[in-house]
Amino acid sequence: MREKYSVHLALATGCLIFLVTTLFALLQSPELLATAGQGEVAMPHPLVAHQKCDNCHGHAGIRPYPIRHLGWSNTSCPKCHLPPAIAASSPAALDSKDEAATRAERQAGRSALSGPEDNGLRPEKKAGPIPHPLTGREECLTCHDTRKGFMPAPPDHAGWQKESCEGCHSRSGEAEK
Amino acid sequence: MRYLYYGLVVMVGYLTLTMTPLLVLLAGPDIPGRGFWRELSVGLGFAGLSMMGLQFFLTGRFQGITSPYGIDVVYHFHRAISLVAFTFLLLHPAILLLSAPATVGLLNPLSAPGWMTGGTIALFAFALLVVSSLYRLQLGLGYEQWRIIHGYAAVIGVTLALWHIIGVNYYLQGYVKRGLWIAIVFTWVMALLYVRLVKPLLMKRRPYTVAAVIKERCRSWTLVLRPEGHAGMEFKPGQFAWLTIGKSPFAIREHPFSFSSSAMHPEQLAFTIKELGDFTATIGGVTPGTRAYIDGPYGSFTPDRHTVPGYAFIAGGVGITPIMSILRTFADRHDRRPLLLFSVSRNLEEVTFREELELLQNQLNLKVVHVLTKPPPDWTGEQGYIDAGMIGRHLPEERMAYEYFVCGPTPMQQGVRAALEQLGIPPEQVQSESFNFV
Repeated sequence: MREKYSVHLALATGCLIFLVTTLFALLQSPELLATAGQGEVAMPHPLVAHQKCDNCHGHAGIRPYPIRHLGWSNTSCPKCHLPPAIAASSPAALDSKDEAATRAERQAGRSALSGPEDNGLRPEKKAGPIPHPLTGREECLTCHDTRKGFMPAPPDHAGWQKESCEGCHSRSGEAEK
Repeated sequence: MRYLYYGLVVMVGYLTLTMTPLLVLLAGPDIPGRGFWRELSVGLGFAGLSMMGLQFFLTGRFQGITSPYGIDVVYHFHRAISLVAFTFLLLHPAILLLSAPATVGLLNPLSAPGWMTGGTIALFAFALLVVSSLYRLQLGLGYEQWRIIHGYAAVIGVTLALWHIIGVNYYLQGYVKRGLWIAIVFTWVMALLYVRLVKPLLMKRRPYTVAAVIKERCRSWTLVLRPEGHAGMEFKPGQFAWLTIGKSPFAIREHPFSFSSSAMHPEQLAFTIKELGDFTATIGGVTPGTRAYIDGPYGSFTPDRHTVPGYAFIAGGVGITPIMSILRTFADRHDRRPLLLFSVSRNLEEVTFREELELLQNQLNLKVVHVLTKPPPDWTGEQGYIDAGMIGRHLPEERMAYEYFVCGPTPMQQGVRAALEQLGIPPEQVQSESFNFV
């Protein structure tokens, strides 16, 4: 009986450890989780200057992500969600293509998080500079709200916070003077 | 209840220690995954190695680990969890090869890097460890030979497996992960050093001398040991210890035996041993004055953990030894609680301690029932295999309040447990220990 008890205890422990190991493998395979869910979602906007995904996409952000994404760090997002340039060239069925090439693309996407240069991540159409000084005008949405502003931003800017504006629109040095 | 909580703490601690190395891999800088199957394979490898490393604790006879469950449960757990760990370690290359057949080239020692071949050899070392344990008797291995193989295969396997993961150098990048893994491995090494070096050194400082070798009935011998320069060993009646006879406590020839002496006399320890195997057959040849060392006490087979109004004991053959220790201790304590002993033997001539049991019936509130499996024609007492009817005839009405202690061959223990279950005795009131490990 005591031997059986020990064996049952060992089997239960083994099952638990196997479960944790499987979870470890799943955590390291986000593409599998994404495929199992609704598939990879391409990013609808460029990454440049928007590396802090959770500014907008936290569970309670202005563009909340699904609850199953809780706990993921910003660096993990581009593992599944490809920036526009990459997404356009390889939509959802990444695994059916040459995996090495795909990994390289993803790696490129990841490296974009540490610097806004190249990798085809810049917006296709360059955003214009801010034509006026910002002193006393830090609340961009007061004038540029897509619905209420007297100089509304284009409709595809809906939902962006004031902190995001300078991500694409650079300050004009002369105007600042 | 205290032991239950403590046992839970030990179990949670074991799970935490097993899983920590795996969770450490996810700590620190983000390391990209390489596909589910590959990561599952790698995870199983790490988990299997972690479980193998923790075996040094399970077999180290640490009182903190063994006391809540009993050392027999811990050793059986060690045996079973080793099989689970070995399965994980086997799955590690199997999944890798199935998911990426090109990796088969890594098994070729002529072209593979050293750390890869190290991993392969580690797997063979673990296989040797498992096979030699499961089939020791079929392979004709003596107990000492098996212990040497077991010890060396374990150390070689774990060492080479560590070389393997360091060589792969994927998840151990960065100071944090390396540092944590070094700390984990350090605890394994410390456990090993404690068991193989520190504990024998401590034993060497507390030697014993064989004071007498007494021939008992039924090819059994009692070794009486006296401490040299120290007060002896405190133990609970029914417990056992690992006994080394010879000049050095570092010798591999140590064997577990139950105390047969009273726990009230730690200054004079006795072990009663039946001639059953290679080592025990030589016990009668031990001469008084021989040096001996004791590692103990161990075991949960003791009435001191269960304060109840009465006890029933069922002993088969030399299984009377720990029960004799209990009865002698109760006599020294002037305990007057009712005691019932079923002593199972082939015939009266083979009843170890028969004369002393007669005397103890006068000193204690003890009733002895001899059960003979091969009785003489004129025997009027109980005979045959022990069953529910036989036990029920002698148990008092307040049997539900009793604690039951069963010691003897495994088939007898199983039979008695089934019989007691038929009588409605809750299994948790039936105590036994099983030492049929290898």
